[in-house]
Amino acid sequence: MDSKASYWDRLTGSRVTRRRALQMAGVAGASAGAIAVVGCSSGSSSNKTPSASGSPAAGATAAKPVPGGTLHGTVSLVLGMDPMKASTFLTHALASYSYSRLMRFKTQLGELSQDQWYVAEPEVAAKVENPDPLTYVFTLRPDVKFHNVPPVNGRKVGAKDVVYSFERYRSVSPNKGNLAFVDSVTASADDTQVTFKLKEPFGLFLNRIASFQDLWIMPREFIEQSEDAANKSMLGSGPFLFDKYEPNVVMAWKKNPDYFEKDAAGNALPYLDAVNLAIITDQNQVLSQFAAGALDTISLPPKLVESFKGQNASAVIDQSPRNIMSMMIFEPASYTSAKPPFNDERVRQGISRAIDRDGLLGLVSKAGGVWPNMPINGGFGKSWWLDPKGSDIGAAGANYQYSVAEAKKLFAAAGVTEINVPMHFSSTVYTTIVPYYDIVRQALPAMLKDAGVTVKEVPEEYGTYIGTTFLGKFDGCAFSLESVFSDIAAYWQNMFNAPDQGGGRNHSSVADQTLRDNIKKMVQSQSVDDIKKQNFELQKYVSSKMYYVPVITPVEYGARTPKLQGVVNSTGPTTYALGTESSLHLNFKA
Amino acid sequence: MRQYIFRRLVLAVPTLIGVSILIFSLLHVLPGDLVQQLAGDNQVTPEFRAKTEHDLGIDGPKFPLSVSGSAPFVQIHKDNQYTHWLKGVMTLDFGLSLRDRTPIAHRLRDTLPVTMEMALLALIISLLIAVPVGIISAMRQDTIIDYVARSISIGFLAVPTFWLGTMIIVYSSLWFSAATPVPQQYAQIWDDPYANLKYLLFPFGGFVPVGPSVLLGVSLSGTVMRLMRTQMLEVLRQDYVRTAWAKGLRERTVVINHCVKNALIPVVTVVGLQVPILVGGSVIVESIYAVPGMGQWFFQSIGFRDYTAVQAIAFISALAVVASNLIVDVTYAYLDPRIRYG
Repeated sequence: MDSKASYWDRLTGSRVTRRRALQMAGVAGASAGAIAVVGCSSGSSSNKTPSASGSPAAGATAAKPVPGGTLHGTVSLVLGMDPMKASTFLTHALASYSYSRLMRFKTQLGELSQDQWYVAEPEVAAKVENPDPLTYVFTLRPDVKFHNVPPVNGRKVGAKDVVYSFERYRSVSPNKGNLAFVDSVTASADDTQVTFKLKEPFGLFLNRIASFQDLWIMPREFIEQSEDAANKSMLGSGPFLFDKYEPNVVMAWKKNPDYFEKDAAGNALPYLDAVNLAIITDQNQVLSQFAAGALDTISLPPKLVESFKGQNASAVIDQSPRNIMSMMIFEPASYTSAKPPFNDERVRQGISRAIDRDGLLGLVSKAGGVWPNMPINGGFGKSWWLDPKGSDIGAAGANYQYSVAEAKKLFAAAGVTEINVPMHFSSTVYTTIVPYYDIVRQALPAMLKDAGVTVKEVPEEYGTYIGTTFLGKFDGCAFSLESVFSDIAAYWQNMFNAPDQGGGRNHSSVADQTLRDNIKKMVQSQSVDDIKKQNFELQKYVSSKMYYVPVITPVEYGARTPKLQGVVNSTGPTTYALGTESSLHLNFKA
Repeated sequence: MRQYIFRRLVLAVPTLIGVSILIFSLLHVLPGDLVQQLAGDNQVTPEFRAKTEHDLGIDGPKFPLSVSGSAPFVQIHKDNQYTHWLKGVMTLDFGLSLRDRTPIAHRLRDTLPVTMEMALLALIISLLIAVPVGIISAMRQDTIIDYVARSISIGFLAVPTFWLGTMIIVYSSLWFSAATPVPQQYAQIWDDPYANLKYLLFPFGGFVPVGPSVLLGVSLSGTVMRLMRTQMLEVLRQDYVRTAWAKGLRERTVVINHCVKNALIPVVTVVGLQVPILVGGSVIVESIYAVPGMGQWFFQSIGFRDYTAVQAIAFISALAVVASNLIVDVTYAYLDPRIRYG
């Protein structure tokens, strides 16, 4: 070895004792801590003030639309492409890009006022006649064509296609109970009219036909190509032509150049040239892509809104009440065999009064939200949802007011000194799709504890949850979400009727015959105004019974690039019919 | 050697059959019903269940044998789901996904190379980091270099991969408004090698190595580096190494020709054991970086009770582990001439 070793050889070759190493580590650690403290304080003082953002007031008109451009969005999962065989809203939401319905929910260029939410308007139908309560005759538009793709090659959509679609729906759809009251569907000889005959009157029939879960119009020759044709591709008469689907990569569509609809100025709809949905499951990845400009629109978890505003000052943030009901449900034995404690409505009312809904809304997001009624939540708008905080609800409104003392009084009046039960919940999927679910689920036990209710949390993986607890196979109570429907009648029937009478969501086997009779009376009324009145009365009734205890309806947020305009503010139908209600009027500013 | 490899391949068959029985059994005792999942929130009517089970091919007996409490106590089912599936596997026909009815083989063709490439790159990166650093650390024992290297390796071990990946994604968008490529920008290595390597190694461009393979490789390197260092220290104290020094050989010659090969033998064992860790770790990294690989698909399939997909992926993973361990054993013979397989 060279005796005159270089400086670096001496430095790297010299032994460092353990004491010396620890000393050096301590100095390094203290320096890093000092830098962190300085960095944080200088960082916070330089945070940008969030820009003023939010949806324009209802009724405001959009800027002049500009045709062209590709919408880059994201979806977390694609669970099959056949909207008739699928049961998930994810599939139904995507179906409206390529498929049409006889009716759809109102959409327009410009904002919708609340009383325009969930209003059915014709899509493929040109007009609807209702000669008697059991008959609806739809006259089809003559200019609606299927996509110009083999094997349909752009042929006209006729009444026979509607009949075929209905027959298929009845044969394969897990949702077919939604149209079980339809007796027959027939096509006229000239193929321009389709007649629905009902077994019993149903006042919200047009809303039911507009539902994104049910009657999509599909061509026979496409479906019959192979058993899984509709699961591998999409071919309908919707505003977008299916382009490609690569699992866990992308789902994409191109504009349908032959789409029948035009805007008021005569421009062809849709305005967009293409839609490209990247399949990304990680929320951080989604936010990162948006910040980098790779995505034009994303949904935003409430908790991230403030930090998002600080980092994306130019982004526009839209908000609207979420349309997924969160609720506490009780074991079926409470109603089927009067098992205490939840068999007593005072106990259920006490549970409701022990929940600080405003506190939960504040926990979820600064913008808060509204209190849902049972079973109608704020996402339906004030035409259908009876605000528990308002005066119209009457005495039943007291059951929503937070008061631990009153909750305890109610428990005492019911002769219940201690409540100690399991609380089941879904530990996966819900937590991804509905971010507020987990926040509320974690807060509930402490809230209930204050009122003397001890719940033991029982997490269940989604597959287990949906196969057991959601179907009523549970003990104690559960914190749950409700499926989304397009009309209020579906909620009433599903949640309170018997299973063989359409009660597919009667999680707790509630069997209130008075309630069922009134629901039947309501849905058979032919006057929408009368249905609304009866709907409010029923909400008052179940608010006193508290068969299910509704929790919160927080605000839902979406973020978009400021270039994107034409966003409709209602998140009810537009969340679940992305192609038509949501995307038909989307366009990019010049 | 050929005989040994052949014997190992033959012995792998009962291992894989045992793994397949275990996977199949565990899947089918999971609570949660696939038919109910397909029905979503709707009540499952008996006719819907019967039709769906028949369409999916899950309406028959599950296993070749069933045991009951009454006579006949043991029943043999020639036509059963397990045998049907196993026959398909022999011909590389893994059936259709129960969830979306797409051929599993097609999805495997698209996703398996992605995950395997990511894992292989991760392994190479971990070795490229760990072996030289372990050697230098041992050669410069108790110097600043040694302490720094050991501290870094502990850091790599202690910091969770998913946290580090999330921080990279979050801070890149926060500070630089940069994002990793989206899944449709992924290209197979034979289609566009540059885009492919960029996606897995330098997703932000500029040869900044923060990609998913780098993340996985770095997290693995801690263990290997520590082991390499320990083995090198042991080998350096051997008499033959002292003889080599005494003969006046250069440091590089002593280390590379006399020490490294012997020190690598236990390291190779550990590297082989890291293959299952890579397969498992790929689920999280693929999700964070939006890599269209097998890991994400596996995780989703378990949640949706897509039995055929889960069985296929688990089987392929087991195959990969068996193959990697065979490669490890063969590598021993190369590293140590005393080890001979007859």
